[in-house]
Amino acid sequence: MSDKTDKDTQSGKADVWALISTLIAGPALWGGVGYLIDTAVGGRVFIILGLLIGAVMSFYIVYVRHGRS
Amino acid sequence: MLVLASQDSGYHPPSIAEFFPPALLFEGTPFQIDRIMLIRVLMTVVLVGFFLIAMRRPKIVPRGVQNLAEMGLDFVRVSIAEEILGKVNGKRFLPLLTTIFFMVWALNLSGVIPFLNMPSTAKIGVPLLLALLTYFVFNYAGIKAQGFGPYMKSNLFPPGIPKPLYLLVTPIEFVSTFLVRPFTLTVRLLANMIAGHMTLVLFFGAAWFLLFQAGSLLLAPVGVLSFGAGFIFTLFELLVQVLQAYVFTMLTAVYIDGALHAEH
Repeated sequence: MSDKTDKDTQSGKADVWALISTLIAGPALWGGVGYLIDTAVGGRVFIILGLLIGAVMSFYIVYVRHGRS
Repeated sequence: MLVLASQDSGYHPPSIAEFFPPALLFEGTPFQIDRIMLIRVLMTVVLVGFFLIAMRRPKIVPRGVQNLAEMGLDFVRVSIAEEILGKVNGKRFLPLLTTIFFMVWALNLSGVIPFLNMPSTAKIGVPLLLALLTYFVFNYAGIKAQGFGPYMKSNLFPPGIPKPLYLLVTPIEFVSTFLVRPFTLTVRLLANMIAGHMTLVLFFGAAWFLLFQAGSLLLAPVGVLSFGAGFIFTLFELLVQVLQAYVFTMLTAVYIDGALHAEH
C-alpha cells in the first residue's frame, strides 16, 4: 500500500477506464435475467426492471469503490 | 450510386470479407497462413529489428534511433507503469506492459503502411490472446498477493454496503471482473481497428472509383474530396493506433493494481 503514495492523481483518471466493465456488467447481467424471466412469463416488464436495477447497482458499486473516501 | 455499385466493374464498398483473405499456406489446417498472418510476422520482425538496431551500441547520451526507442520505453515506464502501479510494482510488471504496448502499436501500425494496408489486430486472434494474457496476469498477481479467498472477497464483496444488497452487487462484480473485462479489452481493440480500416478503404476506394473508373468529370472533384478525407482519416488512424495501444496497456496496469490491493 505504501507503494501507492508516490503516485499522483493521474492514476485516478486511469481507474475511470476500468469502471466501464462495471457499468456494462450491471445492466447486461440483470437485464439478461429480466429478459429470461420475460420469455418464461411473457411480457416486457422484467427486462426493463432488470436494466434499471442493473444500472443503478452499477453506479452504486462505482460510488462505493471510488466515490467515497 | 446504387446503380453504379451494382455494375460489375463498379464501386465495391468495403465488407467484412476484407478480414478473411484467401489462405496462402497450409490451407485447411490450424496453421493456415493468410496475408494478415504474414503482416503480423512482418511487423513483429520490424519491431524486434527496430529495438535491436536502436540498442545495438547504446550510448549514455542517446542519439538517433536509440533516442526514439528510449522515448517510447520511458513513456511506458513513467506514464503507465510507475504512474499506475507505483515505482516498485511498476518495475516488476514493466516487461509485460512494454511488450503489450509495443506489440499492439506495431501490429496496429500496419493499417496505415502502404501496401500492407491492414491493421493486423483487426482479427480477433491477437486482441484475444493479449486480453487473455492480461486476464491471467492480473488474476495470478491478485491471488499471489492476497491469497485466493481474500482476493475473491475483495473483488466480489465491496466493503461497507448493506448485506442484502450483496445479492444484487456480487453477481455484477463477478460478471464485471471475470467476464466483461477480457471481453471489453478484446472488443475495444478489435472493433477500433476494424472500423479504422473500413473507413480508410471506404474513402480511398471511393476516391479511386470516382477519379479513374466512373468516367465522369463531374464526379472527379468528389473523388479528390474523398481522397482528402482518406488522408485526414489516415492521420486520425495514426492517433487511434497509439491510443489503443496506450489504453490496452494502461488497463492492464489498472487491473493489476486493483488485484494487488484489497482496498481501492
